[in-house]
Amino acid sequence: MLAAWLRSPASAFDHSVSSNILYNKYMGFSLKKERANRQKKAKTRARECSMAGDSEKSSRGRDIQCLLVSSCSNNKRRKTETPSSSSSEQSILCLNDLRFPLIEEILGRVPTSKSALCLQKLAHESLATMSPFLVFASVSPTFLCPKWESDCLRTMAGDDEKQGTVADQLSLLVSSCSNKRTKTETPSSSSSSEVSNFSLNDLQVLLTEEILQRLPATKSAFLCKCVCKNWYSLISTPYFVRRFITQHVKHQYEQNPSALFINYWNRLKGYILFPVSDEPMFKRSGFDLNFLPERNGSVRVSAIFNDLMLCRVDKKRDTRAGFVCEPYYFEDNQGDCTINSKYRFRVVHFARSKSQQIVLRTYRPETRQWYRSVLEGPEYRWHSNVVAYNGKLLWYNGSRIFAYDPFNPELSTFVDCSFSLGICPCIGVCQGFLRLMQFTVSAGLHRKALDIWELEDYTTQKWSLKHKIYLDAMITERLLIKQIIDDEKIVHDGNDLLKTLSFLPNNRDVVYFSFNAFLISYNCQTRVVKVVDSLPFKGGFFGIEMKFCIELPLWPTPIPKTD
Amino acid sequence: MASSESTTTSTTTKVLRLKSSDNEIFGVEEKAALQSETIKSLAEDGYSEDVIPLFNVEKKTLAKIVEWLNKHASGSSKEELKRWDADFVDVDKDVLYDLLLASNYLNIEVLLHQLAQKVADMIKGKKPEEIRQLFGIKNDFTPEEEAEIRRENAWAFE
Repeated sequence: MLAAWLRSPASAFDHSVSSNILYNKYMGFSLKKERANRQKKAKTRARECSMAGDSEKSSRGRDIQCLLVSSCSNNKRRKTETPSSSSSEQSILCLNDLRFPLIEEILGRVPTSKSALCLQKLAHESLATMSPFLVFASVSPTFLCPKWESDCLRTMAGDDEKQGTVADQLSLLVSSCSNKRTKTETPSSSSSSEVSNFSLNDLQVLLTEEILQRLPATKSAFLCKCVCKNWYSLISTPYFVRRFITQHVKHQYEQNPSALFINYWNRLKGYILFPVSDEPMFKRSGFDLNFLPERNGSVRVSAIFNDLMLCRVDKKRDTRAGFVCEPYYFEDNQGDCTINSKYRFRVVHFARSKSQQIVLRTYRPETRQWYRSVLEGPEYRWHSNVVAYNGKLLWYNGSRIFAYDPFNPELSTFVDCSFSLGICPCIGVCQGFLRLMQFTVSAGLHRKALDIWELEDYTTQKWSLKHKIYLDAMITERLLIKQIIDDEKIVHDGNDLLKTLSFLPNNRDVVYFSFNAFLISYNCQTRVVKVVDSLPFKGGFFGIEMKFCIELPLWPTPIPKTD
Repeated sequence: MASSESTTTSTTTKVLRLKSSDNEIFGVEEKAALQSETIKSLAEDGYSEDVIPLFNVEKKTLAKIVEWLNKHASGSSKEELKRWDADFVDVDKDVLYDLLLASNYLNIEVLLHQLAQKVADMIKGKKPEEIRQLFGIKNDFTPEEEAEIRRENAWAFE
């Protein structure tokens, strides 16, 4: 029996019917796209923001060179649709506070130590010809387990000039990790014995696409690129990615995994990314950054956005940086997806911060230049970490939240708060809502409590107190914890050992604290406090600048282009 | 739509006659048959009193399709349909393939989606070699090209 499809081209009627279906599907998509600007559901809230042209004062900057080390062979790519009109929306990724200057930035994906090894040689060769300040990027495959990971490695590097007028030079390195697997897999015995006429070779593109977009895991889709040229081109198009994401959003094949990453220093291995998550894919071993060719061990993560990572070489200078990126795709409230094919990013380097003044340098890939700006006044002080929300970088100044818009600085605003400064405030985004937690001491009682606030409505600036938990009401599982908590009930003078650490992006119940080298979780529903982990070395502690929340998207985010 | 309503009012259960490519005729209640957009437009074009020729569907495939159409017009509960559908698509690859083409040709979206999902589930978790073998796909990459793509997507192969 020959595949039925082979017969069908004989019928002109059939042909017109199929192309009609195709046409209708495309039309359906663009209509749905119109809805994209409507109010987002909570999940996507954090991603919207209005944007206009930039008008930041520029300082100086030279053109950067862009180097493409090894590009993906996408020349077979099918013509893609016009870029989405979504540029009016964007989201940001931010960076948590960073302590050191952003001398060299590396933009990449969360690495695995395994792929890292493969990357190393390649990256070395690529970089040898570049300036010593250059850096790289890394990337890739995220975790050894199931789903995510990446395909290529790109880098961006900055070249610092003495006084912090940063980096004029930026380089983009595209590369990929080599696959050690040289032997081809042996076909499974079950299929080898079968002889069939079922040939997807003959299936028209539309049908193949219907099938492939229903693959339950992103990993399978990437694997399928290797099957044949048609599949490769199909899966490489933004159209496919959009359909794939839409399919997954609507059917919820898998939840976006999220985790807390702790970046800590290990004398032997350098900086290690240490994941904290219930997701099986985030294995516990930790991921080191040693695959980065230069300055082994001194490269650390400055920020993570989705699956993208901004790294830099540690230069022990006390400043922070932020990495802001528009989202690669948007979901509207119907679950339809739009690919932002021209998405942009900003790197914000807080070059200097004094109590009354913060000097910012913002890198804009469109012009390939760094722009300097200054925030002057007490209202810009940092009392918390920095998070990305609604397309802006947010931090708490002790009375209000300041929302800095790196795409459009004059649109920066303040969000009023209905609480006052407590001990160790920490902000974060949880299921699309901005949250703040801090310890407070009730007047006269000397009873310490943890307050968790949520910004219910960004426009009306309405906050609600989600939880107020007294430390002595927490249920402790181990003696150690009991001692910590008992000790903390006593109010110290500015010397609190128990510190707020982080929220989890997709879990409203769990928050993290640190106590010296202990990582402690607290479940707001069960009130149980647990030691989740401890740093594997003595005398270490969790610095606030060392933690990053990561929420992996449905499709690996390509590294933003710099031109 | 208007025409189908007017025809259903004349007779309570109007039956459409569908003819397979090998000239077998199947009678299907109009309500069931109109789940196919292709049959619907043919019926609206005046074929409804006559035999509707489906040049691209063989009788054994059409028999399956008719079975599906009838089941989905029978008013079964969602749970029952779900179970029934799972059994329905649990067939030999060749049958699956013919059904896929037929449901595309007949433009029965729900069925097409079920079948596509079934094939996607078969692909999931398999290596490229296994996928090629299973579905008879020719590897048209040169060894160099394939190595490059594997390198680009190394994470997926781990």
